[in-house]
Amino acid sequence: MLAARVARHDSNAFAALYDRYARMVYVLAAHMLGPSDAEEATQEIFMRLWNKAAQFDATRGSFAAWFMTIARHYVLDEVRHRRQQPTYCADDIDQLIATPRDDVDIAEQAWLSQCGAAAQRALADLPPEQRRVIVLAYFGGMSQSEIAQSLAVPLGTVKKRIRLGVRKLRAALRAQGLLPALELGSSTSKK
Amino acid sequence: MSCDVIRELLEAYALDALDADERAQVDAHLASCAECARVARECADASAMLPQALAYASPIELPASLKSRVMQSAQATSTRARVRTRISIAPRQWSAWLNWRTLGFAVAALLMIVAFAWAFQLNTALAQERALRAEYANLVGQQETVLEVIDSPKTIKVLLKSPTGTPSYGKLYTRPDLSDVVVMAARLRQPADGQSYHLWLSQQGQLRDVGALNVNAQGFGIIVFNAGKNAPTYDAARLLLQRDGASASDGQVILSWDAAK
Repeated sequence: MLAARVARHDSNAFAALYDRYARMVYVLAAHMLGPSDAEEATQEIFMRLWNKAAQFDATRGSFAAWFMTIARHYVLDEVRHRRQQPTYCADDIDQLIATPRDDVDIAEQAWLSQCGAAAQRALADLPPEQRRVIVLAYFGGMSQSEIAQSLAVPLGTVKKRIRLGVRKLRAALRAQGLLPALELGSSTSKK
Repeated sequence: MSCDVIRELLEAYALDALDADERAQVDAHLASCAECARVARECADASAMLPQALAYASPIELPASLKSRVMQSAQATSTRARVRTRISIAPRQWSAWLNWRTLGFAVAALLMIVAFAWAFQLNTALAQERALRAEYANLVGQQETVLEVIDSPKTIKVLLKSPTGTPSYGKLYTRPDLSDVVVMAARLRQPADGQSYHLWLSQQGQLRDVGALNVNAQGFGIIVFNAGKNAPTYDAARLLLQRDGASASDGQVILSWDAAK
């Protein structure tokens, strides 16, 4: 596992994980904090990986899920520290994800890009109201109760939309063989 | 809770969208139910695809120079960790360990981290380290103050942005329990001869020239001052590029922040 090597402060393993995840982390930070803070945030998040890689437990989930949770929490903490409105970035992200991209030749993309394309298509194919609550929860850092209040819909409706939306997302990703292939922290890269 | 009830919550659990009490119930169940834990992992994997989808959809590009800075920071941390390990071999009590010499080293090491985060566009790691050591050697008397202000859960930080969209930016740090104020700015261009950067802060609509901000070779500058009372609050900040000796706030606005916005 690359993560285990990073825990032993192996620079090559750290560089490999940087290559795989840096753009994902940077884009997340740039959209939620603004470009001027994205570099500092990315650097801080990767320093957390460098210092906390030993805490990753492969039996509890994939490296991708673990590391992106660290990245998301860091960025959301920054958003809250600034008292920025959570929906501030979620609006843009929702619109971006819902818009098909035709200018990329998927066949020529690296494996990660293909995964991203598939995930974006799966999200874009969701009913807008289901995608909206997923984006508000993940990128806006909002609880179901907060989303219900923000959208002025019953809490039960929000719960149902999240449940159905994530289930469809899982089904779409599983149908494309992407969920088992998400173990990006392993040393058997498909890149 | 039964598995059926928990399964209804796992999608929101993966999105971190449950309220605290529900999350605690799911955590407790997953610790003892392998099958629900498996479903939870798949939901978590699906949610981990969301930033990947965003990265694919977004036109934003990763700066190529960022990797070297991240790698340098990691190496610097490792070096400091090795030094700390050597220090810890001595059989000292924790209280004794925190002597002034050690504290001084920790302050210098932390300031190096701050410097790595702020110093952009460096040519080589060695040149960077030499420049930063020289820079912070001049700040010895301020090191503890800077760390006290910027590195605390109580720290209040605001972002100064370029009104014209340049990559320059700055941060104003205050604490509710301290009177010291720290302002840092990065990615600044070197001022022309006869010009200098001045920081102006506004309290209750009254702008005051805090002082000149000197910029190092990497475009980084820092001002530390005492506001005279705890919890200093400001309603606006401006970093102006002014003619040397100018007394009024009539220069070019390089960075600005307004509390009202």
